[in-house]
Amino acid sequence: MITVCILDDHPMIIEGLETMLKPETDIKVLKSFTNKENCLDFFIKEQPNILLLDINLKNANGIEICAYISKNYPTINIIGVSNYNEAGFIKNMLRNGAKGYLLKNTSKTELIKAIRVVVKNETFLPRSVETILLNDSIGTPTFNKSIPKLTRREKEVLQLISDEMTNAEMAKKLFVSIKTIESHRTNLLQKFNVKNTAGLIKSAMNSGLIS
Amino acid sequence: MIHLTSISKRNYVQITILIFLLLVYTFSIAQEKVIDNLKIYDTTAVSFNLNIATKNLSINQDSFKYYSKKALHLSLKTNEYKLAESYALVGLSYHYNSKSDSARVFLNKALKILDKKEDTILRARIYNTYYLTYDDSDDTNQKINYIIKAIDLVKNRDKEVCLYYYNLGVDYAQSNLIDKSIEYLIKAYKSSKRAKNNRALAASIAGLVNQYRKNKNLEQANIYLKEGIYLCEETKNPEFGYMIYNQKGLVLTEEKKYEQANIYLLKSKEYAVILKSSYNIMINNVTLALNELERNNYKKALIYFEEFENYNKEIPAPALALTAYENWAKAEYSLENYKRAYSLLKKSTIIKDSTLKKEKRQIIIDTEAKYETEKKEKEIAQQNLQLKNHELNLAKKQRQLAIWGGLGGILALLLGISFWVNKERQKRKQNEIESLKSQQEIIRLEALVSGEEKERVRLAQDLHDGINGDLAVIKYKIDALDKENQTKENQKSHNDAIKMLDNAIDQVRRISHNLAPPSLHNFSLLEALKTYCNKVQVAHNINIDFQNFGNKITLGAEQETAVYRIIQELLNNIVKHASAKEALVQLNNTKEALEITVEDDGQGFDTKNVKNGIGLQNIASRVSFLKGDLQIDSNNKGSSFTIYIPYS
Repeated sequence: MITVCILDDHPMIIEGLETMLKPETDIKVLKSFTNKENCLDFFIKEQPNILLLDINLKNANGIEICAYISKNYPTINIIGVSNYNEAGFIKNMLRNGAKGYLLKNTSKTELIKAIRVVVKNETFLPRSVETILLNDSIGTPTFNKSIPKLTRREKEVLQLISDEMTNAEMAKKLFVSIKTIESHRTNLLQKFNVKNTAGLIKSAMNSGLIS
Repeated sequence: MIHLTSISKRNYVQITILIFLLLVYTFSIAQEKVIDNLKIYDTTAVSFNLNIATKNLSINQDSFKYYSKKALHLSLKTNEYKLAESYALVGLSYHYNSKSDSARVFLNKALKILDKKEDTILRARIYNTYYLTYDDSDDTNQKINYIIKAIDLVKNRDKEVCLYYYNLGVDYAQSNLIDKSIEYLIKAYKSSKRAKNNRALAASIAGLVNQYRKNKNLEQANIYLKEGIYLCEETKNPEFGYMIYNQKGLVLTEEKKYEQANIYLLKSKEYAVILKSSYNIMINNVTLALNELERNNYKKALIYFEEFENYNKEIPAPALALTAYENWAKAEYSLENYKRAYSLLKKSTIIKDSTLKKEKRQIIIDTEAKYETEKKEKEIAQQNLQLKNHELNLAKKQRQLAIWGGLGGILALLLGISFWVNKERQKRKQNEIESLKSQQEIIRLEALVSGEEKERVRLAQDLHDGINGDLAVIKYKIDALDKENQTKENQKSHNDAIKMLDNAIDQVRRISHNLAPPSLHNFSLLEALKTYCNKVQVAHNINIDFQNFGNKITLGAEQETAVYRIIQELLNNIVKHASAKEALVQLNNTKEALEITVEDDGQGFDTKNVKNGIGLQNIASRVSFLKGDLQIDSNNKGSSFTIYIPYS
C-alpha cells in the first residue's frame, strides 16, 4: 500500500487529486492539508510515502517546505505539483529534494505513474517538464564558444587595445570613464577565457575579430 | 501674553495712516507741472502753499492748517486752481484738530468740485480722509463704507490702492477678524510691492506677521519676517526697523525664545527713539516689560512699565495702558506690593469699561456685505436700462425681424466670444501642459512602475491561482470519468475535451507569466531574464545570447522589475521589427553602475522617427525612473541599446 499526503491551498485541487487516486486500490490518501502548519504537525506522528506538494501556497513557499521535509523526514518522497512551468522552479524543487515534478494539469495516468516511480526513490519527470529543462539548458550561455559574442563597444575597445592605446586614451576617445574601459577589458578577458591582454590579442586574432 | 496682540493695533494704526497720507500728497504735488504762464505767480503760490502744508502734516499741525487754508484762499482767487485739492487738505487739517464735522464740510465741497471735473485718484484720497474722520466715532458703518469706496475707485492703481488695502486690513485686525485682515493685508502687500512702495510694503509685512502670529501660524509669520528683515537691512529705514523688529520680537516671544526676543525688542525701541515716536516707544516698553515678566524678572519689568507710564501721562494710550496695567499689577503682586497691584487693577477696569469691541465687529461684516449687494443692484439696474434703450431702438426699425436678427447676432457674438475664449484657454492650457510635462512625466513613471506593476501582479495571480486552478480541477473531474465502457465517439469527445483544457491552461499560464514573470518574484532578476531570453529563443527563430558579468545585482524590487521590463520590451521590438538572426543581452554590474547592453544584427531603424513610438517611450520612461541613461545606435547592420544606471 502506498500512502499519500497532499499539501495545496486550493481545496478543489485536493479534491480533484483525491478523486483521480480513488480507483487505485494500492494507493491511499492518508490526509490532505491546505496549510503548512497542520501538515508539518501531522508528520511528527505519521509519515506518508509520498507528498504531493504545491509551490505557490498562501503565506508559505513550497520550495522551502520541500527542503525542510526532505532534510527532516527523508523517508517522505516529494512530488512537486505546480502551475509554474519555468525551469527555475523545477530545478529549485529538484535541488531541494523533490523526486518528481508535475504541472497542475497533469493527467491521471501521469500522476499515478509518477507516484509509482517516485515511491521507489527514483526520479520522475513527465515529457513536458523534461522539454522545459532541455530548452533551458540550450539557452545557457557557454563561454567556450570558438568565437565569443562581443558588444559593439567591446569590439571598439578590442580594436583600440590592439592599436596600443592606454585605458586613459581609450576613455578620452570613447567619451567614457577609465573605470568603464577597465570593466570592458575584464569582460573581454572573461569572454575569451584568457588571463591577460597578450592572450586576448592572440585569441582575437585567431578568431578573426582583429587583424 | 494674550493682550499683547491688541497693543499694536489702534493708535499705532492712526500714526501709520497719517504718514501714508503725507506721502501721497507730496508725491502728487511734485508731479504737477502744468502751469499756466499768465497766472504763474498765483498758481505757483497755490502749489507752494499746498506743498508746505503737506510737509507740515506730521510735524506741526498748526502750520499745516495755516498753509492749507492759505492755499485754499489763493486758489479761490486764481480761477480755482487746485481747488478740490485745497479743500481736501483743509478738511484733513480739521480732522487732525479733532473737528470731524468741519472736516467733512470741506471734504464735501471738494467732492462737489470733483462731480464737475472728475479726478478719481483725488476722489479716492478724499474718501480715505472721510474714512479717517470716522476713526474716533462709533459709526463704523460709514467708516468702512468710505474706505471700500476708495478701494473700488483705484482698484487698478497699485500706487494708491495699496494704502487703502492696508487701512482696511488694519481695521479688520482691530475688530479681530483675522482672516479678513490677512486677506486685505496680502492685497496691500502685493500692490505695494508692485508699486515699489517700500513703506506700505514694510507696514503690510508687519501687519501680516502680526495677524499670522495671532493665528499661531508662525511658519507663515517667519516667511514674511524674513522678507521684512531683508527690507530693513537694505533700506536702513528706522521706521521699517521699528515695525519689523518689533514683530520679530513678538514672534520670538511666541516661540518662547525670550532672550532673542529681548534683543529684537530693544533694537525696535532704539528705532522708535530715533523716530521720536512716543507711542511706539510706549509699545516697546510694554512689550519689553512683558518679555521680562515671562522670564520672571519682575524688577526689570517695573522699570519698563514706569517708563511707559511717563509717556502715557503725556499722550494717553488707553488700549495699550489696559495691557500695561493688568500685567504691571501681576508684577507688583509677584513682588508682594499688593496695594500697588490693587490700584493698577482698578485703573485697568476703568479703561476696560470704555471699550466696545464686539459691536463694531459685527458692523464691519454687515457693512461690507451691504455695500457689495448695493453695488450689484446698481449694476443690474444699469444693465436693465441699457437693454431697454436697445430694444426701443430696434423697435423703430423692423420690429420682429430686428429682434430675431438681434438675438441671432447676440447668439453669434456669444458663440464667437466663447469660441475665442475657449481658444485662448486652450492656448493657455497648452502652455501649462508644456511646462508641466516634466512633472507629469515623473508622476507617470511612478504610476507606471508601482500602479501598473501591482495591477499586473494581482491579475497574474488571479489567473494563475484562480482560473488555472479551477481549470485543473475540471480536467481532473473529466479525467476521472470511466471512459473504457464508452462508445468510440464518446471516447473521442473525452480526449478532445482534455486536450482543449490543456490548451486553455497553457494559454492562461502564458498570459499570467507574461503579466508578471514568476521567476522575477520568486528568484532573481538574472534567473527571470535567463528564463525570458530562453522563452523568446524557443518561440521565435532567433538566437539570444544572455551574458552577465560582475557583482551580484542587488536592486530594489521595483527597480529590478523596471530593468526586466526594459529588456523585455527591447527583445519584443527586436522580434517584431528587426528581422534579426542573433541578439545579445549583456549585463555588466560594477560598483559604480549597472550597464545593460541589448544588440541585434537586424535591419535597424530610423532613431528619429521611432523615438516617440509607445514601445520606446515606455523604455525611456523606465530608464528615467531608474535615473539612468539610454543610448540608441542603429544602422542597417543592426541596433544597439546601451543603458547605464549609476549607483550614486
